Amino acid sequence: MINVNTIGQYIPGNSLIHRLDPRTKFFTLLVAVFLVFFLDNLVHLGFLLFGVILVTFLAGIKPKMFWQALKPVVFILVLALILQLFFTPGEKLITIGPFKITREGLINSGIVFLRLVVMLLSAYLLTATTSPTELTHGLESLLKPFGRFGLPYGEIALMLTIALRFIPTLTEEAERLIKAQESRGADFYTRGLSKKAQMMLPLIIPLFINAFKRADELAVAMEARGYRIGAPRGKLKPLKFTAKDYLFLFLNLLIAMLFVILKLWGGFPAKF
Amino acid sequence: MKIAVEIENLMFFYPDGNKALDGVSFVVPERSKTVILGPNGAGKSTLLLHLNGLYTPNRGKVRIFGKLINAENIREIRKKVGLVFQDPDDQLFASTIFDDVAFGPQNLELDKKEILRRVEEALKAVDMWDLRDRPPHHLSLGQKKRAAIAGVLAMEPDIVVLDEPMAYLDPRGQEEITAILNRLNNEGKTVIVSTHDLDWALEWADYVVILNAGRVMAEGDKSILTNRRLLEQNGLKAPLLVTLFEDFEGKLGIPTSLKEAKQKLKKIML
Amino acid sequence: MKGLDLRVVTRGGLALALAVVLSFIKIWQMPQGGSVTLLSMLPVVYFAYTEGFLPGVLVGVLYGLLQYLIEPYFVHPVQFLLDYPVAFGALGLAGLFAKKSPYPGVVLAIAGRFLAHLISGAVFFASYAPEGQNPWVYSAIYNGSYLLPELILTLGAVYFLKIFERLRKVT
Repeated sequence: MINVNTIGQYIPGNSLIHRLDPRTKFFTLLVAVFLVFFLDNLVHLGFLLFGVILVTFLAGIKPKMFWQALKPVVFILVLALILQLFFTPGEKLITIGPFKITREGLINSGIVFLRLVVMLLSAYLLTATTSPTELTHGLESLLKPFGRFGLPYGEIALMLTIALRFIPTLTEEAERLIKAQESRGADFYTRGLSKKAQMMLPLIIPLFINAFKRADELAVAMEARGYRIGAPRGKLKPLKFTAKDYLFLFLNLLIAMLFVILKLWGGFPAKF
Repeated sequence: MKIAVEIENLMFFYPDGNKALDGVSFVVPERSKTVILGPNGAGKSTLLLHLNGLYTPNRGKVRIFGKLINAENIREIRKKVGLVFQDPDDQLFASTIFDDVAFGPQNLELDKKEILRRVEEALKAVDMWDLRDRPPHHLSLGQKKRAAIAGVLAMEPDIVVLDEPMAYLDPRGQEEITAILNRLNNEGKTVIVSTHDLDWALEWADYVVILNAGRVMAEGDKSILTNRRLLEQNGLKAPLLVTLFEDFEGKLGIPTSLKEAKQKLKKIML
Repeated sequence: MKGLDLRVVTRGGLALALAVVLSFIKIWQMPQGGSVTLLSMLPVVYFAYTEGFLPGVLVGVLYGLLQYLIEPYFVHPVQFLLDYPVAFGALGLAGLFAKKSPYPGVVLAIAGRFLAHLISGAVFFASYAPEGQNPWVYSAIYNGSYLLPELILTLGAVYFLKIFERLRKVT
């Protein structure tokens, strides 16, 4: 059965990283993305990967789950590596049949590998340590400044909350409908595409009608409890930066600055 | 007798032009346990949505404690009249029960302390405080219904309206809801329930309104539930107690609760 | 767009939930990862069709973010933007034909999504593969292989099931 915690990559936990404010984590991801493309040196990127692995370790995420995050992109990863390795012109190192591996190709594929892994891991860390609900709160708070330009940030958060709340309910409904059709002899595991589509027909109409009807009823029920769009509301759990958030943000900036200096200075294995 | 709700010649048409309510008039006494009975399609749910101004009547008047519902006082009215929907999934939308119950008080712009107090009180009143951090979809139907009631109680209404609260519940779930309704009534709230379960209505209600085809067919204390002809004319089935005792009506009379029935039987046996 | 109607918000929420649920029902899985789902774009397209362009784009963007949560694929910030918020936000294009004939809206929405994925594929190649490759063809074949059947299914559902008419009748 699907629940909100299994729809994403979220791994419930109570680590330091889990307890950070979601905005802190958004910002950290931004810093990581910036560094991935700013740095173009094998060793510098290696340092960055080391940092990301350290955070993964702090978050209590086991290497096994890690692999889970990388699995869907293995194909792309391997493709990128092969292309870089064999098709970069430069100083020849090894020749295998018609293929030549060059020094530049080796370095480039190393850089591509590190960039991809750092990128995937840091993006994975955000969704693995932040529940969808928290992500919603974080997004709402990040969008708030745009409210003055007419962005309905409160409504956006409400929409996401409703969506996350009803994903399990609608999944159950779909499963119930599938069972009901199966008990009348429908076979959803048939191979043919058009046949499969035909089997799905009895699901579609009730699922759509129920979902949109429910939406209208939900609106009435919310009005019944005094909700009005845009009206001021009592605050309950506003997001709050704590000492660890400030510390983490400070470390972010410090590390980013160190990397920038490292690159501009051009020192510390500069020849890669 | 003070009046909590007064409805006068209420007419309502669906958007497609069909008549849903056709001149409905009745009153609900304050602090009563009122039951609105009627077969499917009688207009019960539509009627209930008028009680806190979610629907605006095409014609007629709805008064709450003597005040006519209008655009200016609609917020006040919604504080006074809490409406619990039949399907709790139509009402519970937040990611946890706690957040959901807090939704109403937040709309009232209360301060944090007051919101927390109300949420705690409401959840404890329906015995759901221990489950407050659960997401709604992890609850049983009975628990969801109780959570939906808590969501309305947190608004601290004087009148609580419930649309088919017993539908699809197992006997234990029904008992729990009945106990909650009684407690609310003992606290001085007016409780209005729509149902087509006449056995339950006979046991619980002290005021009865019978609705059919958008009209009020009868209104009064629960002795009208012993009128088999009236009930059957309006698509309802007489309660079991009535069916059981009507053959002996001359000797015993017809009881209007299980307790009364037992007493009557004891009297002739002993 | 300020002050969306509450009904629009709840409809958007349920359209998102339905879209996510339908995207779990895969009728065809491509070897490289793309898959044909059970009309998973239709809820957002229908929402855009009834509520208009801007609300449609908004709900599409949110759907993209939810899709990212479910199957994250982040190799480049531009790729991320194109593959998620932009590609799914494009479904809101159906709102340009709001309440008119549904077909041009469906085609435009899915074509918009295709275009976004197409460019994203090229961006990926540009930043991770050496020069001298032509990524456009590969990207078009890959993305077309699941979006074309998806388009046909969606059009079929709208045409044969009369889904838009039926929904508008009851809600």
